[in-house]
This record gives sequence, structure tokens and C-alpha cells, in this order.
Amino acid sequence: MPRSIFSLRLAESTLAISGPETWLQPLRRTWSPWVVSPRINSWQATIHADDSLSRPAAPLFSATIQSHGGLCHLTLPGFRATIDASRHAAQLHAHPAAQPADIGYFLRVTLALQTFTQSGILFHAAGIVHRGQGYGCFGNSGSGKTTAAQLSRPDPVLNDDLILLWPGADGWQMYATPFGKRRGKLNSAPLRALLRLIQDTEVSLETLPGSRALAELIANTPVISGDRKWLPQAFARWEAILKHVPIYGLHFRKDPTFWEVIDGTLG
Amino acid sequence: MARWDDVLAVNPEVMTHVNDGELIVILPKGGKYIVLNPTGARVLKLADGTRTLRDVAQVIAQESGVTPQRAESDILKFAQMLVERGVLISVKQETG
Repeated sequence: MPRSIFSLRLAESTLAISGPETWLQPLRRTWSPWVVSPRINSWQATIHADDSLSRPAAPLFSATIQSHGGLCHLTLPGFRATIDASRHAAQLHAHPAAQPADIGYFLRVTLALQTFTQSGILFHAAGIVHRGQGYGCFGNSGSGKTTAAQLSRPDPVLNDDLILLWPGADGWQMYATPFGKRRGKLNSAPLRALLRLIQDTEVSLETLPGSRALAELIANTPVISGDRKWLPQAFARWEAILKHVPIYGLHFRKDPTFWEVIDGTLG
Repeated sequence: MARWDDVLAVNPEVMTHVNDGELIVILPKGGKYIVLNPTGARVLKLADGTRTLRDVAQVIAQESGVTPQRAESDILKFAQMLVERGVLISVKQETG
């Protein structure tokens, strides 16, 4: 099977990827805004087709993620995946019937670990850029991330499901990622506020008590929140972010009026 | 169903973090959490795999100055909620 090699760059994290062309070429095309020439000091993700594995019965997305001490395993028939943060290396063995989406999910988990060890944080949120400022709209599945992004037209959306937060010289920045829908070509914006989405019949912003805010943010920090090794650092990182970035509960209904309330409060 | 003679312990898969005197408890599955006030956090600490739930209630009653009856009523409900969410597990049941 011909192999393909390319590198993916999110903020200052570079992941070098090598694997069968049939899986990587579609990803490379779709992710072209993030593809860069190979760099040194990057993490390595290696993907192998392995027909000794059983045929996958479900997408890798449904795998159990077990992460202990910086070593992460994804367990599901048809796949064998290990991400070793100490070696900056990730390996996936997948049955040839696996799909590019499975490989994409493996790379997404790898980047969650990689970016965290390099001072960022992958955040399960829609990143909406309004008046040049970034708003991380988050919540559980079904809380309305995609809806909020759609209601915010024509504002750019860095991603409607997963964004990368990264510390910059002028504060925390919000970056686009390839793991969801994007609107516009903007790659980053200064992080202005974090908004916990709550669907309601009225629009309002409420203060989130400190512990609840932290817990909500941790619950929306994929992969990292499941590893005791990373959890104290994850709390510390969110605490550092919350020193500079306000967090609110945003009660919103299905129209764009929530931006009037946000503009009125945050300017 | 939590019972008075249950000896409870914190599920080893649970992760916790203290913030401003409150305890954030990350539940084992599904990215869910609960936030406990200092009394709730104390109950979790006392559930160390050696005390029965009745023992836990007695300690809380002594420490907080409420009547044992009040503490028992509150703690049984609270422990039941923690068991249902997988935070506490029953280690054994005292039969003496």
C-alpha cells in the first residue's frame, strides 16, 4: 500500500503523520489549511494497515479511551492505538476496512494530548469570532454549539465543535482546528469570553460559580480529563485562563439576539 | 440502595479537585461531574472503606452540631445519590 507523509500544524504544535495513502490523502485534502512542510521537533503519528486485526464493527469514535500516566490506549475491535506522550509518538494499527474518519479521530486524540503537553488546551466548543473577538461557546452534546454558530452568521466560526486555546504574548488565543465545520478562513482570534450554552426561552448571561465553571470546562476538555496525570495540570491551566477570560452561562433562544446581550455586557 | 450497615468507599476511578473549599468530583464515565460543599466533601473523605454509613453519619452529626436523626436522614439520601452516580461503591456490609 503506497504511503503518504504530511505534517499538520495547529497554533505552535506540529504533528508529522505517515500512513497508507488511501487513508491520508482524503484527510490531507480536507485539512489543507493546516498542512505544512515537515518540521523538526514535531510529534510523530504512524498509521499501519493490519489485516491480522478483526474487521471493524464500529467507528473508532466509539472506542474506549484509557489514559494513564501519559500513555493513552484506544480500544476497539479492528484497531490498536497507543499514544505515548513521553515519546511524542502515536501509533495506530487499523484493519484495511477502516475509514479515513477513523484515522482522523485517532489524530484528533493525539493532538488533544500533544497540544496539552505543549501548553495549549483542546476545547470542546464552538469558536465564534464576533467583532474581532473570540467566544468559546461550549456545553454537552446537544447544548447548541452548532446552532449558536449558525445563528451567528455572518460572523466567522473557527470551528463549530472543537477549538484549540493557546497562550500568546497578548493573552489566550482561540485557534481553528480541522475537526468540525468552519465558516470563513480566519485561523485565530483573541479569546474574549467562555460561554456555557443553555437553551432557554429568554436571553441572559449569568455568572457561573467558580467550582461549577471549572468543572464544566474540565468536562469539555477531551482526553485530558480522563487521566490522573494530566488532571491537576488541566485544572491549573483552566484556572490560569479564568484569571484573564470571563466565563458566563449564556441562556439563549433560537435567534441571534443573544449577541445583543453579549455586546451589552462585554462590549 | 445505600443501607446503614454498608461500608462505602470512593470509586477508584473517580477524580477530585479542591476549589475554594468545594470538591469537584469528576465522575467515572461520560465527562460528568458534581460539586460538593465542605460537608459533602467530608462525607466523601469519611467513606474510606472502614466506616459504615451509620458511623459516617455519627461523625458528621458530632462535627456539625446537628441532631443524629437529622444527619442520618440527610446522609442516607446523599450517600444514595453518590452510589447511583458511581462516586461511592459498597465495599462490604457489616452484619454484627
